[in-house]
Amino acid sequence: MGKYIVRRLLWAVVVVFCVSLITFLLAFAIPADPAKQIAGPHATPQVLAQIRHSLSLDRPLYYQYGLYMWHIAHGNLGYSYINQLPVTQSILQRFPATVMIAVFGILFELLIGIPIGMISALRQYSVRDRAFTVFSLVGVSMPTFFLGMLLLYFFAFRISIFPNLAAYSGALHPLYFVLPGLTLGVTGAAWYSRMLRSKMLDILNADYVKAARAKGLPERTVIWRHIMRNAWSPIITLLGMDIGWFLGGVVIVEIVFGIPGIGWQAWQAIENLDHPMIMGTVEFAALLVVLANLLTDIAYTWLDPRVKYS
Amino acid sequence: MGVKRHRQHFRWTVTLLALVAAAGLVALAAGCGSSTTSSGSATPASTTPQMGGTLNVSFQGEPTGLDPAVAWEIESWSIEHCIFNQLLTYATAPGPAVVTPDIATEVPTVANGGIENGGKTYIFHLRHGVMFQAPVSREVTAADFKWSLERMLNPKMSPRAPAGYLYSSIVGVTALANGKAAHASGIKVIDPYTLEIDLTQPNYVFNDVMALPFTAVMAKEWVAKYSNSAIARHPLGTGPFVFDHWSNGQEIVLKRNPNYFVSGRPYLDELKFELASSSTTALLQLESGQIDVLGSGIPSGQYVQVTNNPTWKGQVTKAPQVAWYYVFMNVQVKPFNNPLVRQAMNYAINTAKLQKLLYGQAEPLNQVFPVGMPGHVDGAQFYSYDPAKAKALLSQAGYPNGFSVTFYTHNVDPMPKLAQTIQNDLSAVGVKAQIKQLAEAPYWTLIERQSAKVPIGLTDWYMDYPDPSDWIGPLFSKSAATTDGSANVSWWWNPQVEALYAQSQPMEPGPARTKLYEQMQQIIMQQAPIVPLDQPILTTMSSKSTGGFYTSAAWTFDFPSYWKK
Repeated sequence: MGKYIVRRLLWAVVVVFCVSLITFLLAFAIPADPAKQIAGPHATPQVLAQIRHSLSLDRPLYYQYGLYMWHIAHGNLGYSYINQLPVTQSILQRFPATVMIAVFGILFELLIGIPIGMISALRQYSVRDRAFTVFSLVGVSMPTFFLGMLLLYFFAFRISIFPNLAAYSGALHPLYFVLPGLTLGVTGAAWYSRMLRSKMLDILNADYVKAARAKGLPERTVIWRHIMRNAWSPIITLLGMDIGWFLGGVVIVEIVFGIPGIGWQAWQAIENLDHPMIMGTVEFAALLVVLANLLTDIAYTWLDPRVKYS
Repeated sequence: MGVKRHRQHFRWTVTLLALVAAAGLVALAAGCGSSTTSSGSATPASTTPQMGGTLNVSFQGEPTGLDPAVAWEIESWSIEHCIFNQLLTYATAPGPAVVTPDIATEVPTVANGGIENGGKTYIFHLRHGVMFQAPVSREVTAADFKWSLERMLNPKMSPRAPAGYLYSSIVGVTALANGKAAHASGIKVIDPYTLEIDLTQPNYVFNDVMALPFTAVMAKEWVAKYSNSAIARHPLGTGPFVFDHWSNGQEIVLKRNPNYFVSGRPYLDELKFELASSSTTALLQLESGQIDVLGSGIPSGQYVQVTNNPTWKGQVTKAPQVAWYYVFMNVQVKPFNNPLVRQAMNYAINTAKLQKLLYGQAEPLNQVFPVGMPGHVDGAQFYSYDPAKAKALLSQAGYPNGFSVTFYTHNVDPMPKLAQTIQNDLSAVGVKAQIKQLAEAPYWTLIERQSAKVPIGLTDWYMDYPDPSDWIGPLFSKSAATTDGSANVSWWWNPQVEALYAQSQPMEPGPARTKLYEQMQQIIMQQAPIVPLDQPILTTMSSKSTGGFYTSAAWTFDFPSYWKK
C-alpha cells in the first residue's frame, strides 16, 4: 500500500507538469496582449514595450516556460500581472473561503442526497420516489446562479436569517456558508440521490440480500450492514470528483454570494490575461484534484476488502 | 416484509429527515437577529453638512493599486482623490470639469504671471503648512513635487506608469525616460514654496494635465520603504483621508485625516469600500441600508424598475461621461476607402433609438465631441437617419445592391447590443453585416494592428482631460494613423486637420481655440471615417442618508465632499 501511494504521488507530479504545459500553451495561444491589459487603452507603444520587456514577454516561448518552471522549482508561482502580489500568497489567502464552501456544499449534498436516494430505492415507484425524481430533475436542470440568487434574495434580504455579504470580513463564520453550501448541495444532491438509487436497486435483487432477509435479520440491519455497505462505491467516486471540483473554486457561487475564493480570482485573472495567476490557480487545482482522487482510491480499500493495491 | 417492518422504516426515514430539519432550525436560531434592515425612512432633508459617520460604497471591480503614478481606473482615481493632493485639481462641484488650485495657491494664467514665456514656462506657488499624513508628518515643499513628478516619469522608478506621454513636453523628460539623465532639467525648485516647469514648446492646456492624479505629491522617505508593487498597497499622501487597510478582494477602509490642510473637512469619519461586489447584490444592499453609494452604477437589468420606483427614483443621479461610443471604418480597406460609402453608413444608422436600447444609459451623439468637451456644438447634426439617402449614396459609389462585410465587436456590455442593432440598420440598406464577436483583450490587440485589416467595428474613447486635443491627437492625427497600437483604428488622417491642429496647439484655451476644433470636427464629419453613436451616462444611486451627493466629471465620485445624514 505504501509503495502504491508513493507511485501515485510521483504520477501526481507528472500530471501537474503536463497540466502546466497545456495551460501555458493555451494562455499564450490567445491572441491578446497582457501588457495592454496592464497599461490600459491610452498607453503608448513605448510603455507597452517596456512592460512586455519587464515581464519577459518579448522572449521566445520556450524561454518563458523554462523561466516559469525554474521559479516553480523554487516554490515561486510568480507575481500577478495586474496587482503585482505574489500568486502563491494570493491563492493561499483566498483558499480557506473556498474550502468552507466546499465543505458545506458536500455536507448538504450528502445530507440531502443520501436520504433521498435511499428512500427512492427502498420505496421504488411510490409517491415519494416519484416526488424525489422530480426533485432530481429540477436539481440537475436548475442553473446554480439562479438558485443562488433565489436563496440569497429570500433568506438574506427578504427575511434576514442569514447574514449578508456586506458584513463578510474574512472571518470564516459558518453562517456565511450555509446558503452557498445549500446552492451547491441542492444541485449536487440530485446526482447523488440518483446514483445511490440505481445502485441500491441493483443490490436489492442480489442473492446475499435475499439470504440476509431469509435469515430473519431486522430490515434496518439488512439495509445498513448489507445493502449500504455495497452501495457506497458510486457515492465515494462522486465525492472524490466533487472534492477536487469544489476545491478548485466554484466561480458562480463565489460571485453570487460575494465570497472571495480562488474561483473568482481565477475568473478575473482570465479576463485580465493575468498569466501567472491563471497558471498558478490551474496548477493548484490540478494538484488538489489528483490528491482527492488518491484519497478516493484509498477510501475504497477501507470500504471494500476485495480491493487491494500493490 | 411485514407491516410492522414497514412502519419501522417509515419512522426511521422520518427521523432522519427530522434530524436534517432540526439542523436547519438550529442554524436558523443561531442566525436570527444578525442583521437589521432599515427601511428607506424619510429623514428631514438636511443640506448642512454633518460631521462624522461612515459611508459605505460598493465597487464591482477592485483597484489594481493605489499608486497615483500608475493607476488609471474609476475605482483607483476616486479613492486616490481621498488620499492624495496635486498642485491643481478639478473643482468639487457638479458641471463640466474646471481646473482649480489644490496645493498651489492659484491656477497659473497669463494674467497672474503664472504662465510666462509665451506658454513655455509655468510657475506654481505652494501653500504653506500642507503636511504629509502620519507617520511621515512633515511639510510639503516644492522639492517633494519635483521628486514625485520625476518618479512618475522615470521608467526605472515607475516601470508601469502609463501616462508619461502627457508630460513629454516638459524639458528634460525625454532624457529621463531614456535613462540618459537622473532628473528632468525642466522641473525647477526656485524656493521651498515655488516650483517652475519649463516646456519644450508652448502648451496652454498644461494645467489640465497637471490636475490629473498622476502628478500627486508623495513622500520620498515613505516610498523608499516599499518596493514599487508594495507602495500601491500602502498609499500615503496629504489628503482628507488616511489609508487604514486593504483586505484583498474584500474592502478598503480610509479614516479621517485630523491634520488636513482644509479646516472643517472631511465631513466623514470613515470611508468603507466594498470591493468585488456584484452590482445586482449591491442594489439590494443599498435598498436595505447597508450600502450608501453604488460605485459601479445601477445594473441595467434593474434600471427601469428602479427609476420608476417612487421610493428610489429621487436617489438616482445621472452623470453624462465625457466619452463616446462610435463605429470606426478602416479607410485602407474596401469599400470603406470610398467616402461616399462611409457617409452612407452615417445615414443608415439610427442613433435616436439607442437611448431606449441602453435603458437610458446613453445619450445619442451625432458629432465627434461629446457634451462636456469644448468643441461640442449644441444641436449640431451632420447626418440624419435617412435610409433612402444611404441607399442612394451606395448606388452612387457603385454598390447599388449593397455589399457584405464582417462587423467586429467585443463581448462587454453594451457593445454586443449595439452591434446587433447596427446590423439591423445596415441590412435595411442592403449591407449584409456578419457580426464577429471577440473577448475584450484580443479585440483591442486585433483592431489596433493595421495589418489585420479589420474593415468596420465598434470602439469607444473616454477622456483623459477636458481638452479637445485629447480627442484629435489619439484618434484623428497623422502620427496616430501611422502607428500600430494607436487608437486611430480607422487609420485616417487629413492634411487640413493636421494644419488646424498644429495651429491650435500654441493657443490659450478660449473661444478662438475652440473655434479651430469646431472646424476640425466639421472636416472629420464630412469625411466620415467614423459614425458617432452615443455618449454613455453613468446612472448611479445614493442612499437617503448620503448628503451632498453629486457626480464629478473628473473623478466620477467626490467622496471628500459627501457627508452622512
